[in-house]
Amino acid sequence: MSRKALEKLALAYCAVVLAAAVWFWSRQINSVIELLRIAYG
Amino acid sequence: MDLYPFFQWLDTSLLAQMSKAYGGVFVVVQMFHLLSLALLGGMVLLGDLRLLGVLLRDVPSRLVIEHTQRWFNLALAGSAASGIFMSSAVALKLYYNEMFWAKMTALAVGIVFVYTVRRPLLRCDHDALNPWVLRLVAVTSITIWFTVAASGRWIGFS
Repeated sequence: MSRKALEKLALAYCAVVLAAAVWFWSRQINSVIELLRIAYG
Repeated sequence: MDLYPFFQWLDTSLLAQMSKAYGGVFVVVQMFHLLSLALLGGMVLLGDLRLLGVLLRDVPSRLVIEHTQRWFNLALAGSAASGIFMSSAVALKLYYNEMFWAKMTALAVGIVFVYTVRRPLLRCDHDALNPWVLRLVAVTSITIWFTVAASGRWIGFS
């Protein structure tokens, strides 16, 4: 694969992974906040 | 695809019998798992922080990536082998654990990323690559392996 194609592939893969990571960790943090709300009001 | 039969088989396998019967063996394997994770994390940070220009600036980034990749491969193989042994002890419990699947997904994403995106890209001349792509690859790599480690630790609390 050419350098340009590899750069494009890397850009696309990184964008998808970072978006998924933001979604996943925001979900986890929200569930912890929810748990703390239930526990401490 | 339902993996339940595989986990059921793993739960009654020879590995599971060994890991359940011999606590000492489990602890030694766990030690190797943690050492492999430390090595893997170290290699990821070393390579990616070099790409970000944070450390080892006087060493060519290609050289750092080349050397860290070898140890990364070893650490990945070590952590996978020890991880299979450790998971055999609690295979059915892990099957129902959401964070275990999060870790496995992140691990699969990480392996695909390293061997199909990061490594082929970083074999090119780094000076010819777009510096922002290099930085993005480094940040993504750190994010993926952080997710693998953190979700792995989270298994114990969920």
